[in-house]
Amino acid sequence: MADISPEVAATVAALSPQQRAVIFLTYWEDLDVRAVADLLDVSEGTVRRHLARARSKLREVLR
Amino acid sequence: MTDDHRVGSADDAPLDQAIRRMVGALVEAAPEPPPLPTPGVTPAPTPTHEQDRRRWSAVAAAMLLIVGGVGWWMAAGDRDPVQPVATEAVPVAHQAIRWTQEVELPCEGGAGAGTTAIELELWVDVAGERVRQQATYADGAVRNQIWEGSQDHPARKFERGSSSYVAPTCPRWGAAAVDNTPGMMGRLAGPGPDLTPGDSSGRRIAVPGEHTDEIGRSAELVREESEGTAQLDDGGPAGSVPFRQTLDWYLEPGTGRLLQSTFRIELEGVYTVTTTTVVLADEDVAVARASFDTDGYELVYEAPAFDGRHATAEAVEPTVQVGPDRYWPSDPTAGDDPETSARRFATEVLGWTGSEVVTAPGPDDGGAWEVTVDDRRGHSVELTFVPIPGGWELLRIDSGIIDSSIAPDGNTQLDLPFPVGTTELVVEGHLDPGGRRAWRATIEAATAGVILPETTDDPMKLLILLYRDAEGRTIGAATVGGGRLRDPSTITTEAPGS
Repeated sequence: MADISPEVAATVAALSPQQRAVIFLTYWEDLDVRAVADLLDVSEGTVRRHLARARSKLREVLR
Repeated sequence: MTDDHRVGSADDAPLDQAIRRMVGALVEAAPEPPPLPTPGVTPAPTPTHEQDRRRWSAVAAAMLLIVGGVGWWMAAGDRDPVQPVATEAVPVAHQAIRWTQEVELPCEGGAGAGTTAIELELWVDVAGERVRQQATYADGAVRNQIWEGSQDHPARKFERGSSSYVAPTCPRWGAAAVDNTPGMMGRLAGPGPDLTPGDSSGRRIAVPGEHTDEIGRSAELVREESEGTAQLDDGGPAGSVPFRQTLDWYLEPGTGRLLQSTFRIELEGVYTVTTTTVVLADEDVAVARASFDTDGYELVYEAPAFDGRHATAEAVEPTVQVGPDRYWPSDPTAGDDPETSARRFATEVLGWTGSEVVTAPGPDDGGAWEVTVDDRRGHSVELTFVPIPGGWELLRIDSGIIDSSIAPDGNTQLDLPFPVGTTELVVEGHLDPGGRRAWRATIEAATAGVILPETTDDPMKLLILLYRDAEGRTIGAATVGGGRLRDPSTITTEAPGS
C-alpha cells in the first residue's frame, strides 16, 4: 500500500462528505460528472463545484 | 462518456494522477468485511432502500476516511474490529439491528408466545446490486440470505442455514400481526414528515418531553396510535374484536435517523404483540467482495427469463380507486363480508354484472378468505380477502407468476403470462411516490411483458392488472405489489428472519 502522509490524511479528513464522495466516485469508480451527479442525485454543476474545491485543497498537499 | 463530462484538463493530469494514487492507497486501507458465517449455521436477507443513491455519498466519504490503515473508519464500530485490508473490498451500507418480540397469546394450542430476540445484520452492495442479511437467533442458529438484484424483485436468492423463529399464531385466528421493520432498510429512514414536538400529522404526533431509546440514547419520539374493531370471523361467537395499536419511532435529534421503533398491537382477548427494533449501527463500511459469495448457499429462487418483446404502456386516466396501502377498496367500508366485497369488486372493477360468486366455507389458517368470481362467460378470478377494520380488503388476485423488475430504461417492467384472448392490458395502481396512476397497453401474440413509463426508481406500488379482450371485456385480473419504498406504518405478518 502506498504511504499516505499525515498532511494528506488531514486534508482528506477535512474535506466535506460531499467532496470526499465526489473524489471517490471520480477517481476510484472512474465515473464522469454526469454519472456522479446521477448517482448522488445532485446537479452536474454541484458535482463540478465539489470536485473543484476538493481538488484545490488536495493540490496543496499532493504537489 | 463524453469529454464534456470528464473532469479536469490536460494541465491537471499530474494532479489527477496524484489524487488517483491517493484514493487507491486509501481504499486499500479499508477494513475487511464481516466474516462469512461458520459452516452449518444460519444466515438471512437484506433490503435495498430508497436512499441507496444518497448513501453512496456517505459510502464514498467513508472510503476516504480510512487513512493509513489506521482508523477513522466510520463503520465497523465496536462490533466488528477493524482489520487491515483488502483490495477486494466493496463499499456497502451496513445495519446492525436488535429485534425483539413479546407475545401474549391467550389461546389454546398457540405457538410463538413469549419473548423472541433476533440479531440482524444487513449489508447492501448498491453498485453490485447484492444484499446479504444475517440473522442470529437466541438459540444460536444463524441464517444468511443473499439477494442478487433487488430484495423485492431478485434475479436470484440464496440461503444458508435455517430460521428458528416461530411466528405467533393461534389455531383460531392464524398469524398475529408483527412488525417486520428489520427486514426493510427503506423503512428505517424514520416516519417523516418532520414534526415539532407537540405537533401532529394525521395520526402521528411528536410527543413532547425528554425521551431515550432502549439503550439510553437521547431521542425525539413520534407516536402513531389507532384503535378500532377487527372483524375476525372464525365461525365462532367473537365477531368484532376491539384492537389498539401504537407505533413509536425514536429518532436521533437533529438528523431524524431512526434509533428505535416499537410496535404494539392488542386484539382484545386474542393476542398482544410488541415488537421492538433497535438500530445498533447504521453506517457505510467496506467489506470483502467474498462476503457476497454464494458458495455453500442453496439457490432458492431464480427469476424466470423472458425472451419476448415488451410493450410500452401509455398513461391513461385512473378509474379504479387503488389505495395507498391496499389494492381495493380505498374505502374500507366496501362490504361487511367477503362475498359482498367480491360482488362489489366484480361489478365496479371487473365490470362483471350478474357474475357467480362462490365463497370458501371459511377462512384459511391466516384469516384470509378466498372467493371465486365467474363471469358466466368462461372467465373467472380467484380473489382473496382479509378482514380490516370496517370491512374486507382485497389481499391478492391469484394468477400466474408475474415478475416485476426494472427495465433497461429504469422504468417498471412487468413480465407476465397473458390469458388467451387478451388484446389489451389495463393497469390501475397507486405509486409512492406518484399517487394514483393508470396505463393501457396493446397486447400481441409475441408480447411477453409491459413497461410502465415514468415509474423510475422502482417506486412502491400496488397494481391491479385487468386483461381485456378485443371487445373490451375484462377476461382476467391480477395484482402486483412491491417496490423499494415501504410505508413505515405498514403492518405485515412476516417477521424478520422468518
